[in-house]
Amino acid sequence: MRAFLKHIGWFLILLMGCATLLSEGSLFFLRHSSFYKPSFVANALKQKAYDYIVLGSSIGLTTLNTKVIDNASDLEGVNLSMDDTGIGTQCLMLEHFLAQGKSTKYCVLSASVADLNTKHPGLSVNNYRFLPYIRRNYVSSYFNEFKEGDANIILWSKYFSFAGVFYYNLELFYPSILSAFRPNMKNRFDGAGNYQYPLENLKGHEKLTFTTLPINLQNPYLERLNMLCKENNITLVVYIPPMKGKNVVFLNDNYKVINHSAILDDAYFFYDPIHVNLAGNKQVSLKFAEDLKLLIKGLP
Amino acid sequence: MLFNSLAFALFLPLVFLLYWFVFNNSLKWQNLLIVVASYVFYGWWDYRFLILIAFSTVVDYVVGKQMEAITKTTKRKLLLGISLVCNLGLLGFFKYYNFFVDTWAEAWLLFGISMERSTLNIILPVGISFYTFQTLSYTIDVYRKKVGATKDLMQFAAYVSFFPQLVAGPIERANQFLPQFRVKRKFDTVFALRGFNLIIWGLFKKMVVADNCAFFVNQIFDHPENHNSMTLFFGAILFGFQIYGDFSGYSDIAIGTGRLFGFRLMTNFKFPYFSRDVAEFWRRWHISLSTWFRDYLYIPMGGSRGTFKQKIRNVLVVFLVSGFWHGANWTFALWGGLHALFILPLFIVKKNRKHIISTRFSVNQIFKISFTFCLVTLAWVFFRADNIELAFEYVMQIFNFSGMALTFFVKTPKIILFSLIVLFSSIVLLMFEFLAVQKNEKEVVLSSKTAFFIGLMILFMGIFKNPETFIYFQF
Repeated sequence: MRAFLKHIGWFLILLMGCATLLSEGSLFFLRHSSFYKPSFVANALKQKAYDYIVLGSSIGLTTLNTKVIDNASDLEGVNLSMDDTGIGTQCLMLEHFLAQGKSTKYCVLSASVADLNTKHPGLSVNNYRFLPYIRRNYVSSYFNEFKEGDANIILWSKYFSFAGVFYYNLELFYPSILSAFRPNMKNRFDGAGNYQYPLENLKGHEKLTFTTLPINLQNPYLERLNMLCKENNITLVVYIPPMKGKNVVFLNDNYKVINHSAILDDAYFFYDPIHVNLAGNKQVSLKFAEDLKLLIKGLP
Repeated sequence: MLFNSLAFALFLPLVFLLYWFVFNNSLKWQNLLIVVASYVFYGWWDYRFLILIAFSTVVDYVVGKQMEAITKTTKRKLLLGISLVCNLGLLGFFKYYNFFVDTWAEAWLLFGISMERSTLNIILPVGISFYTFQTLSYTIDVYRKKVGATKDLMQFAAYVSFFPQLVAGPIERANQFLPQFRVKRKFDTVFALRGFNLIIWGLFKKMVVADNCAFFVNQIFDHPENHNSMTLFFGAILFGFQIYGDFSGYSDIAIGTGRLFGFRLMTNFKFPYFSRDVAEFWRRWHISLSTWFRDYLYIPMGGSRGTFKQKIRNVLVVFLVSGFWHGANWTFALWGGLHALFILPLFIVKKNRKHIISTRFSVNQIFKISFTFCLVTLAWVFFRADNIELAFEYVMQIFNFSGMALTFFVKTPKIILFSLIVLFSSIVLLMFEFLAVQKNEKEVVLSSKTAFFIGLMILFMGIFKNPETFIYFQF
């Protein structure tokens, strides 16, 4: 029995030791890469001060093209949106951005209507992308707010790095191998953080008719984001992107809002009901640049 | 409790330590610990169904004892009948009630008569087919006087509920397994280490091979209409690997866990995808079930004796029942029927008895192995499909050669990664099995160094997030 326990003990110690080394290495390479947005913010953004940043989910990522906006407005911005994330993650992203010693005058939040509307936001699918930074207090305290199993696994990684790396092995371990060889490689976004959906599934031009969609800005993270912005002299702008056939109206107006929900009346510009395609992206970004300039000048 | 869960990773060492360090001086206490641990293991899923296991245990214990005390054949038959009715009644109710109600109503619809269907919202208790067959083997063997009835309820309860193999086998036989609960277990380091390595191999098969294959299989089988012929063909092959990795992985973990407690469980899989014909496949696939049907159904029906028609009937019945054993769906019956169809020509030319597996791999052998694999894969489509129509559509779509591109497997970087993991892990699986076949081993024997690398593969290639449940739990 003693020989058995000794054997198993050594086996497990060596296995977990080796796994810990690989996991730490994996997180190290991700931290020093530009593969996911949190690492991109830490390593690829050389500029300290921006005029505006775009935070959001896939909607923010694919609707507002900061390169187009910058060309049209003489402003300098960067897109920090991550697909499959909620406003809670956008809060965390802003904290992370500020923690790198960077600043911005405007923070544009482009979240989904469902996310803006919800009173009980949960953990987002792609939050694991912050795992390389789990030992930072603002990251771990964010995950501490959730009861879900996935949040616990990410939190355990603070002490046992392998926990998160095993659990998200496809999403973290293999990208880290790529990052080790190509630290500048990015996961589906360009040097300014933008991504556009292609001109796919087009059925030609089709005039859209609109129905009204009332929303309440009641996600608790929205107020938290607002507070964080105020503490850092940042103006929060809530941006409502185009939606196929929907005209969003607000039941409350506590925030500065740019509402583009009904500016595209042709199905040609849409990739799916809530995302625009490459053509829509350009149209909307140009219009956004105009509206942002007006907003900065204090015009309605 | 799943073998690939954190709960089991904590449960197993705890029970192991209690078993060998606290209760090691008393056989009774060790058996009691096995029963308690097994009930906790099962109750972790749904404690309400523990009553069914307890009921089957008590009925068969009492029936066994009574049967041994009585010499009159009619009374013994009556007791056997009670056991069969109780066990098969529960199995029939939980597994087949809704199916037969639906089938009955649909049959009347053929004559234009619409009947009200009074189906029930029944949850299928995990592993009911496995423990029912195990406990039935006891009463039948006591009736046949092949095994003596046990006088110790705790021993019998431990035999019925032994947690490593309770929910998905191997289905043990009373004459081989029950005596192991009667003798004091001695810890054997080499035996336990082989068990530990077998657990690692089983986890690799399940978490790396099967669960990564499932990523593709689920998408392909859920929407076969979206895929071309080549993708569907590979989808069927991947399901073959998934179900093998899933089920044989479970058996390996069960056998390995049994060894940690000093128990020898029967081999359930012996490298089935190296079979040269379908008859050989059935001597290597789910051995504990096929031998159960052989001993308790095929041979009592006459087996290979009798007229030609009777022999054919016996083969057909065994395969159809075996299909139905897997689930209440005509797809399973058809799967069994297909295997019967594949095996009958061998049976007719009397080539179904070539037992031993050759360790040489000539071109001829490789051709036979590939052909058998194709037949088995074809049958898997019926096993996996939700209904017969979908299964036929799937097969037809494979053979209409609608496209040969494999773009589905390289659509995005993440999918390419899955494809590479599936390819690599399947090669590792086949390579180790090939070496084991060549050495004429009954199972893959890992050295500690190899187990270490397999362990790393599990950690970095296995599916930990939303793992698939074991396929055979539903049976």
